Amino acid sequence: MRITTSRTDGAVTVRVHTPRLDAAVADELRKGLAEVLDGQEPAVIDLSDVAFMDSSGLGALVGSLKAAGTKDISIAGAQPAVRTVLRMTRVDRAVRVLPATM
Amino acid sequence: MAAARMQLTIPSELGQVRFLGLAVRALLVELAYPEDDVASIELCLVEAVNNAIEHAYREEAGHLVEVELRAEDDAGGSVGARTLELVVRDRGRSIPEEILEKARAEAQAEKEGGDALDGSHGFDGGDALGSLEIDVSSLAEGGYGLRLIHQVMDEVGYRRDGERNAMTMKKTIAAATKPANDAVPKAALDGPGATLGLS
Repeated sequence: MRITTSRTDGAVTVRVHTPRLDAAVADELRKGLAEVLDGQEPAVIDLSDVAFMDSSGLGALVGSLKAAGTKDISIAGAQPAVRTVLRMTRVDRAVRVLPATM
Repeated sequence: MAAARMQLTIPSELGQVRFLGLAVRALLVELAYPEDDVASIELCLVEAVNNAIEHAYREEAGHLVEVELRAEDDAGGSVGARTLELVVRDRGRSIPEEILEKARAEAQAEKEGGDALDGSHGFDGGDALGSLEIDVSSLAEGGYGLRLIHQVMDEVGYRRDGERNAMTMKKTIAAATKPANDAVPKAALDGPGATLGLS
């Protein structure tokens, strides 16, 4: 799984380049995020490339953010299906879900 | 009303689940189900099959997960309410009753409390820069799957049937106020007479 990072204004943007975050790739996602999140700086997780996320993908994402100790977290580029999962699980109450860019 | 009826079987490997999800998605798109329903049904199918592989089979390869689907068609363009039924079967360990009950109760609480909370959120992303209500460290890392199934589906059943476990999921898809954009010319061209005679 390709995960790339960029830094602006003291925040790290982490882009996950994969169309599906599911149970098959959950461990890979955990490992990939552990390598790039240091917990100190605010993090923006860019999910523009993710069309589908199940509860295992979400669990891996939440688990990675908790493990890193990142306090200020935003999710950018969430597609409608991903947005729905974040809302139904109420993860959007703990993680800022940025509006879709037009 | 015509219905698509299908049985699909995959090996008990997590890497195979997406193919199942994508196959069912393609079918529902063909039947002109609304995209948000397609997405939530695909999610529930994937969650139920993941459960079978991870818990019933403890991620052991060499078993099978069977899916039976019945999806009502839109009767040649007159888009009314339609019923979708999915059954996911495995031959592994059953989900304990207390886990099923917990998921059911949580989903119910979510549905009842959901309206007021959603209202306070306003439009999608409208308060995105506002303060967050809970800390990330308090979020659960798992246990969302069954709850999501209960939140999305109108009916969820689970039973031991001989040596098999069967999870049954039903959802009624509301009548569309207007057909999807690409459905208009298709329905107009085909006409009711061109509908295949599937019962």
